[in-house]
Amino acid sequence: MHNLIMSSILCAIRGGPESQITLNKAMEMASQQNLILNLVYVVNLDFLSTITGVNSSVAEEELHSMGEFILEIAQEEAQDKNIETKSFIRQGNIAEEIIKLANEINADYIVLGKRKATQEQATTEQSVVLDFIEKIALETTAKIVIAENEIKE
Amino acid sequence: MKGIIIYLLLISFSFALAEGNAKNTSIDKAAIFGVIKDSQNQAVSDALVELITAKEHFSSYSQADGSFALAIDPNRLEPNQITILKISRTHFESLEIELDSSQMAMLFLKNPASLSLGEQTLKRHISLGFWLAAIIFILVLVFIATGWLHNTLAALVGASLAFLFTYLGSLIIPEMYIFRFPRALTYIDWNVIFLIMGMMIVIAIVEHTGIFQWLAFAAYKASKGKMVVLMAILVLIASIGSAILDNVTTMLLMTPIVVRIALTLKINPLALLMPSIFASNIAGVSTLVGTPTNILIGSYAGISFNDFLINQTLGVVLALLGLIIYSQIIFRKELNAAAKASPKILAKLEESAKITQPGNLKKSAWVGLAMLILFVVGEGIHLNPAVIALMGSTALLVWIRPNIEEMIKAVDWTTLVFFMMLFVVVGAIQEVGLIAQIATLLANIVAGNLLLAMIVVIWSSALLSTVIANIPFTAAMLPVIAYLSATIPGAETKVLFYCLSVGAAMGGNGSLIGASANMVAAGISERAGYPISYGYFLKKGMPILFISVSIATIWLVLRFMVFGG
Repeated sequence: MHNLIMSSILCAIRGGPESQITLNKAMEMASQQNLILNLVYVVNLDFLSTITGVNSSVAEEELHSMGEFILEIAQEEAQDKNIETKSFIRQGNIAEEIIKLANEINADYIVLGKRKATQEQATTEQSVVLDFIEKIALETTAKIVIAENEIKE
Repeated sequence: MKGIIIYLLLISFSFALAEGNAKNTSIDKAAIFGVIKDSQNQAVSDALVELITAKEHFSSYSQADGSFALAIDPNRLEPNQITILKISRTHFESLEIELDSSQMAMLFLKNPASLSLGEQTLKRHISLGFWLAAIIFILVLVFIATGWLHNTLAALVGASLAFLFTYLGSLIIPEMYIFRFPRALTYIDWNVIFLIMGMMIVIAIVEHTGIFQWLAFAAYKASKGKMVVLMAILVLIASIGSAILDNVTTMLLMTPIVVRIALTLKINPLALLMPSIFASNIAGVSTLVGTPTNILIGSYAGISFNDFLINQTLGVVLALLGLIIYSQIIFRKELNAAAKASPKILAKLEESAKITQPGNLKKSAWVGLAMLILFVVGEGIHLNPAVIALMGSTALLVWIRPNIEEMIKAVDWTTLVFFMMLFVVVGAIQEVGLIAQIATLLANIVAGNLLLAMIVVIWSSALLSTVIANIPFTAAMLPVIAYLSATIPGAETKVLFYCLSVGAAMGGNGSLIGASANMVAAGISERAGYPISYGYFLKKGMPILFISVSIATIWLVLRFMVFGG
């Protein structure tokens, strides 16, 4: 009953130091506002599109298993801070899967990470990130939070 | 020697022909024999051989070994008329020989009525087709290197362009001709296709058993918290895996578990992953089935499973030792940062590293062992590795009885099509004479010096493999190496093929795009939040390329030049 009236955060993670910043932000919000933290890992096999000799079903299983493990570590960290968590594993296009899940769970906030970019990558990277955020913001009712800079939808 | 045998056979044939004629008491047949070769002493097949007089015309074609036997009716010839023997073939300059009176007289002898013209050399003709085939090959390499097209699609586009110019282009400009479809098919090495297909079926069964995950976790337990030991054991697992399966599968299965182990220990996964990637590229060269390039080389040059094992293994072991020392130095900071694992996460790690199909694993192990024994002893009974792979995979399918539909799906048909189309594209540049030009150029550079040839082959293939796909590169280099092996004193031991094997495989460590295994590992690592950039891979990989290739070069020099091969 308590859970039904609680607001929730959806946080897309993929492991690594950059993702840790996103998770920290999500945990901070969840802790301060007493929100449920929904963690999602999206299995994405796009990188195999130009590689021959890979059994994509095996790659899918392996990434699925790795994703579960990454979620487990994140959940343990959140639970240590007494944050209620749920984890989800999805497969497909990252933005689309986040949108679908956000709508499914009626997320109030979506916390996304902002990847660091080198000087020459900055413009392209920024543009990709903004497109990604824009797509999610347009197709969900949740407020979008960027790990370092909070952006209102 | 081979030429002499051919001549003897041809002369025997002419005697047989004459004997047959003698029995009929009249001579109505004679024959002109010879062998056609190119300027590199390679047999020229499908050359049109014609005997032309003012009134008569006889023709025949040369065989795969370059020999021809042109049957003629002497009764239709006149001894004193001008008689021309013309040899012509696309991509070669035509050769016309006017038969002199003594040669003509040979055709009118009663026993035997034959004329041997010996060896005839055709000179290459650089046609528009030559340049088109060269452009097609370069385009395929560029498409693959840039990722603009999938490898298979790039090779398909290349093969289709070759046929487009041959069948349609040559109608407008005859010089566009490259080769026709039946000729293109002769360039496809079916040994390679069937060996890869057989191994794919075996791998498809093994990769679902969880063996790599279990081994990696066992490595973690065996290391007892010593990161250096853990890294060395993971290097060993990646090495054995890539030597008996293939690099891509090994890294596909190892990368996720290596990442999980590293995350459990709170260290950067790249400190364990990069040495494993490097090991998979190094160790594959020790067996026939370890890398696709070895499969190509083994089939083309007749190098057996045993030959690779005997001539490459010690060099590979030394290179791996170099890798372990190098990795301990460059990743010491990351490895020293290991922390105590959380019991909950450790339990999760152990749970994810279990053998999932123990029954299938046991059966795979027995069949794998039988295949290994057959690979080793097969050479003695002329058992082709492709046949062993097919028999082994079939035995495994019959024993395990998996869903055959799923198994057929597990065969990576795109890779098989890639190889078939690649053979066509490489066949095109061979047909037009580009390979011969490169071979001549290389032969001039090394000037008969074996040591120099070894260094040029091993280092050029290693460095080129960092920027271009090593499979098409190796396929194109095979005839070049064959020519060098035939012309450089001491190279008949096939040492240059081993140099190509080492360079093409170990060169994959020089850049992220140097090997498919690198790309697979980088893709998975990126999905775990640890991307491997081109710059990072270059920085860590180029030194190990120099270390491993240097060690392998020294080993091959010792093995073939000091210890005599």
